[in-house]
Amino acid sequence: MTELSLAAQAMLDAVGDDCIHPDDKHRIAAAALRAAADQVVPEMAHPDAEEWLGYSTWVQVESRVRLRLLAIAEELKVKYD
Amino acid sequence: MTELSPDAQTVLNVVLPVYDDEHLYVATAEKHAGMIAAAALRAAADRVVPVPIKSQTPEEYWALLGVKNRLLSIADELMANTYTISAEDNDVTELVKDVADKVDGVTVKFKEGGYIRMTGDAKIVISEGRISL
Repeated sequence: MTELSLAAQAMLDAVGDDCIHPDDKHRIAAAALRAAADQVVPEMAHPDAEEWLGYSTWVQVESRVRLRLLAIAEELKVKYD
Repeated sequence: MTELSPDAQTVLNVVLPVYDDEHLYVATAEKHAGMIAAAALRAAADRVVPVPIKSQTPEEYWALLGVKNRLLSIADELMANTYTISAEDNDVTELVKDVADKVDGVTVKFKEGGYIRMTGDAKIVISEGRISL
């Protein structure tokens, strides 16, 4: 079996949840987007990291993308659950 | 009923038709889910970081591009994994090999340890007792 990266494996683990039926596409999509947010644009561990890391643009962009991914996931979950 | 936002509606529109054909199967439910997840990721990446990338500064541009590339690379990995069928999943290795030999433009690689990987624009279709690529 092909070795997956940690990020891709985390996605598969999230969508492979026993509680999600393979035909529940909106729930699979929601789980995938939540996992992607955590893997690709994780929440900053320290609220002041933006300041002392000096990566303000990078942090702002990733935070913005994270919020949008999570918002889409939440909408898909809420509407169809 | 609440309307979905354009972002969520786009993702849903892309995800719903994935594998609608009930005669078309991938080897496992996990791979099926991976295919749907990959479609969702690509749709979300296109909504969240549309091309051409609009940015105020070069730093913002590179940050957005980096995020988009990471999202798409996970989607690519999931799709590649979908088309990897292990011998343990189904005892179809020899059958697939026979079929692949007859199809132009499709390469099927067999590797020590019993798995095959398909390259090219190909899908395995199992329908009415037949397997085709």
